[in-house]
Amino acid sequence: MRSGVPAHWLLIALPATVLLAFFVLPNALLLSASFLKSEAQQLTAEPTLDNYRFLFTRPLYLEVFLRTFAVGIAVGLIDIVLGFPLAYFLVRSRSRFKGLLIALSLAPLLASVVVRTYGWYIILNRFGFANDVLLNLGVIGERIPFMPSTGAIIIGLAHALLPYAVLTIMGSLNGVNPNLESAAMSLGANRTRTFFHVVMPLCLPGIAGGFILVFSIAISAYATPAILGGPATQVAATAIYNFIIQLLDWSLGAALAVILIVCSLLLLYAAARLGARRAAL
Amino acid sequence: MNGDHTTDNELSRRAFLQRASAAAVLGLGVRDVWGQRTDDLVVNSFGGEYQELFEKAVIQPFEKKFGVKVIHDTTGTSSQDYAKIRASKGAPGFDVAAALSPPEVILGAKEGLLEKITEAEVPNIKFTWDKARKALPPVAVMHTLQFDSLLYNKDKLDKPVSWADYWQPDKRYGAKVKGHVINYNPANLLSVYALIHAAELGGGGASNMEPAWALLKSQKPWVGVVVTTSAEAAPHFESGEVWISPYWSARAGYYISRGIPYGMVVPKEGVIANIDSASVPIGAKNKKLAYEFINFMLEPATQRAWCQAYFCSPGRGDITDWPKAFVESQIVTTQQFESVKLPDLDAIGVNRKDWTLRWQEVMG
Amino acid sequence: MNARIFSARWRATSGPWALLCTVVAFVYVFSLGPILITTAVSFNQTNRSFFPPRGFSLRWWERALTPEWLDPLLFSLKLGTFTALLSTLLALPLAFALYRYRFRGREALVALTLGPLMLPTLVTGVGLLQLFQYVGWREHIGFAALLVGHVVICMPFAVRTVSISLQTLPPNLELAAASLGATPVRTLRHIVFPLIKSGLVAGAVFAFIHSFTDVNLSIFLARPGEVPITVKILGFLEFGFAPTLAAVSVITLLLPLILVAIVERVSGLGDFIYGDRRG
Repeated sequence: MRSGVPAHWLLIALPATVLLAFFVLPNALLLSASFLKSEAQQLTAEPTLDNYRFLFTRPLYLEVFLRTFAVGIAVGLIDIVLGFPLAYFLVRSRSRFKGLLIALSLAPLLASVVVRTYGWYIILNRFGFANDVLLNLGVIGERIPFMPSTGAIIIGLAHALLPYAVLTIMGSLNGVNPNLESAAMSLGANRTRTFFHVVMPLCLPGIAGGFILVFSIAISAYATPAILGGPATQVAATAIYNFIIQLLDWSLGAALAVILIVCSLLLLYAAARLGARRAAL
Repeated sequence: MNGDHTTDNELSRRAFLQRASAAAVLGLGVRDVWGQRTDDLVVNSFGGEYQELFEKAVIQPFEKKFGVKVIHDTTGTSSQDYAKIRASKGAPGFDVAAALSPPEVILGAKEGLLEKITEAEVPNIKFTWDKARKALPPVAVMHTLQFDSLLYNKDKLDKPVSWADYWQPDKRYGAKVKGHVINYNPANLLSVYALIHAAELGGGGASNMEPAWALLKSQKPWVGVVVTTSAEAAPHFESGEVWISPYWSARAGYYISRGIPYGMVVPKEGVIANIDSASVPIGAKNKKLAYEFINFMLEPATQRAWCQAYFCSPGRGDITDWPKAFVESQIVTTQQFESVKLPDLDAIGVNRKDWTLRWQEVMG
Repeated sequence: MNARIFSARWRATSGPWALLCTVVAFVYVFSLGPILITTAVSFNQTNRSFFPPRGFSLRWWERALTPEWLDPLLFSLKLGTFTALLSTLLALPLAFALYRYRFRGREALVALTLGPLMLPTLVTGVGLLQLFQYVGWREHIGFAALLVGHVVICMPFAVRTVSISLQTLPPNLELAAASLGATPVRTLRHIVFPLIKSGLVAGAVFAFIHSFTDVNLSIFLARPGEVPITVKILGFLEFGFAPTLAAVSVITLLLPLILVAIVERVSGLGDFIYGDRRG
């Protein structure tokens, strides 16, 4: 179409350079430590595959990765299921308080680690609110330690990341012409059919995009899993933190990080292949 | 047809707003690019209530005496601080690292990222406890001592007398204690010490930790809470959920003074000392003042103020006239010092990773 | 029929709308619950954290509103604003290129834009600190390094939201505009750009929020004495929990929300919020 430098190179030049220089380069440097040996917390210059061998032969780490991706998928699903009605409501609502409601829906995103530490602790601990309510309702017989647990991590992350799903879905819901819904209804479809057969397919990019966004953040999340989880429920980010920051063993930490990012990209690639046209990006 | 909603008016209003706010922010931002003035000293230690006490007892008197400004950096745990030191090759942005624990200090010596400090730079070194000073490499100057005490809920439990009361709580306290015991990840030095006590109970020690793992396994059904940092344990004490726990003596003393219904005990098998020290990263900007600061921390007046505020033991054994209650619960005299064990820091450094992984396998 | 009548019709069939409202209300309770609990703690009488709070006191709020906490808060707001602007600026051409063109290496580029989201930010933080040290940029640790790090981890949000907006565009839009006589530039400026505005705004909002709430990367790239609010909170939290923190937490929640609300009101994001275009 045009001669000279292809337009797409011009467009991506600056952003791609920023990402290459300040994301790929520093991480490549750090993650190359995964191929070096660490002795008594010190990095040596000895190349080795022992770090990877170590991680692959311990079932603990396989479990960590399975848990990480399971949490990611669960949180992604919960958030699009909860987020879609909220997004629909916010887009179609005529309420005077719409701006306020949208702002409020952002609240969990801004809630700091303090809220997560304390707020969820109060609700989920063995002697806390959730247990009190469930005991009084007779749903459970004795107190359950809701946290630390993988379930608590999923709840906490779903809570924190819901706004991402809501806003992403809103972005594509905005592009759905309300007249289409009226048209469908005037042609005889009831609201449910319209909802599921007209509206949803049209904003599938937003829904898929919301899922991918929430999933990606959930698998790399540190604070919530650290607070609501425990040593029996480690995820990739807490395990990496444990090695790089607490044990100061950069070889193993780097190896974990490499495995995380490779697996994540593979997963997303597979998903994109399967749903190529539907998935956003 | 409604026409193009994005009229030129809207676009330009938005663009103007963006530019105006960018300009305003830029104006504020310029100030931030300015670097650290060489007569400022940056001291890194802990935040929260520690910060207030430290500022009152140490930093403000120092600022007054030397007529300088101290920037108190309260970010980071000891290992986070060291990760920063390592990543920046000794130039983490602070001049005095007062929050490193002995394992990090040893790493700093091995990796050559902390300055060697002698009596020439910090004259007051000569007054510090001899044996403790020798336990640390010459890149750290000890300023106070703590030990791993046993913290217990006075309302719920009788006073414990042995580390076995923590490691085998059912034997002492029976079924009621189930779910009210806390355990810590060995990434926290406190846990390492507790595990060493467990090993010793079983006839082993830092060089033979097998008995510790057996005790850990048997303790597991009684454990209700597992955390990593000492801070994470605090809400569990506040709520009264945890009834017995190893805990650093200073912090325990501080929380007790704040009104939690707990008591602190030195078990009969003894305790292990934790040496609080200060170091200077090799890339520090203001080393001269950093040495002065460390020296100031060891002055008798400062030691008196700080130790009584934070419930820690002094780093020098020649200070007298402590209040009676203080003498009874802290390490002040040579005799008390001799009764406290010093940690085998080399063994800890070499084995910590393996111990942590082993612990994770048992608890996971 | 226009949108107003349409929604009235929906409303008239009250069943589904009421059900929707109930679901939405439940979601809000879930969202705001833990936050309200922490807010309650901030009014505690004593220095310990009780819930339900015992006694009522405003003194923790007094403490929270001092320069010690307000300075980092302003720093974070500033950093977040710059990050949002830069991220969106960089994201726009990137998203557009990915949407418009099919070229070799496109998949790699997609992976590159997702990368910063999927890797724990602490890794990028340590890596950047190392990098800056390596190339001799130690002086720039602080605002500059933070800005670089934040843009890297926030840009992906903007790229994604803009891409999704682009995907939702009617196909052949540009073709239609061209066939009506518009030049490519005019098409971009007057047709495409307004339609993806919601994606741009969402991207900027996400970038701002992600920057404002980041802690693990910021710990490594902040200069002592000049830290973002999250790092300051973490430092405090490491040493125990006090109602002051709860008060600060509520402020860190409200301020950006107010900022976002102001931006929304003033810069005419009506399109984004009210979504009643395409008559």
